[in-house]
Amino acid sequence: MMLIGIELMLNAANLNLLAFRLTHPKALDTEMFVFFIILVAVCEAAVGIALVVRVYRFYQTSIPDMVNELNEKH
Amino acid sequence: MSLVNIATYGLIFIAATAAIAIVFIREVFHAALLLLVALLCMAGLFVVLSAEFLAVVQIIVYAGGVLLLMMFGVMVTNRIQQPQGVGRRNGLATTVVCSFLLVILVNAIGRGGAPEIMATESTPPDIGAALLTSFAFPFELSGVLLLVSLIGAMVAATHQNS
Repeated sequence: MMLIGIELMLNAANLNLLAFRLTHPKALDTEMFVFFIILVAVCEAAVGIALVVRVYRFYQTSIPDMVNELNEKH
Repeated sequence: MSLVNIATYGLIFIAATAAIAIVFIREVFHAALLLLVALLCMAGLFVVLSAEFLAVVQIIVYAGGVLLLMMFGVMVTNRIQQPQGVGRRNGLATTVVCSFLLVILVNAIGRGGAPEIMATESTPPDIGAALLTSFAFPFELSGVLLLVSLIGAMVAATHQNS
């Protein structure tokens, strides 16, 4: 759920960048920036999914609210 | 109003609706499917903004790669009949902070004014040449980052009792 939110936010940033690129149409910088943002988002998604799988194996749940081992009230 | 305008507003509407629905929906699998809808609409918007190469990259990478990964993750970690979702704690504080940010953003974007639309030329050959000349270092760095995240994901996901 959190990963989906992160992807959504990165996409919104990409869309804004591309919209403001129209003021400087000659420069390729924006496209490169968006390209590398997509790349980093992919890396982040892969590592995030791996962590979720690991957490699920350990705690038998993938809900962040239920991973409360450090919470003293629990 | 031309056909392009109608298509653009339609894409914006669908993407925004899907994005809002993602936040409020309780089931992760449905949220992933809605994310697919939102990402495809964004690819369409990239085409409208004359960034066709990035639109294709968006579809291939997100719709093909990330969504598949997320769905596998959801299927592996999600038990059947287990409603999930974000907790609603700190709802008031979150609402206040997010509305504040929204006001700032709308102000900033409105102050910038609408850019005049000009035809941009960014063909795949141009992008490829730029990647290998002026952006060679970030390109190589991204290759290293991909390798490191690949190995890191494998190490994090494999189970070992040592």
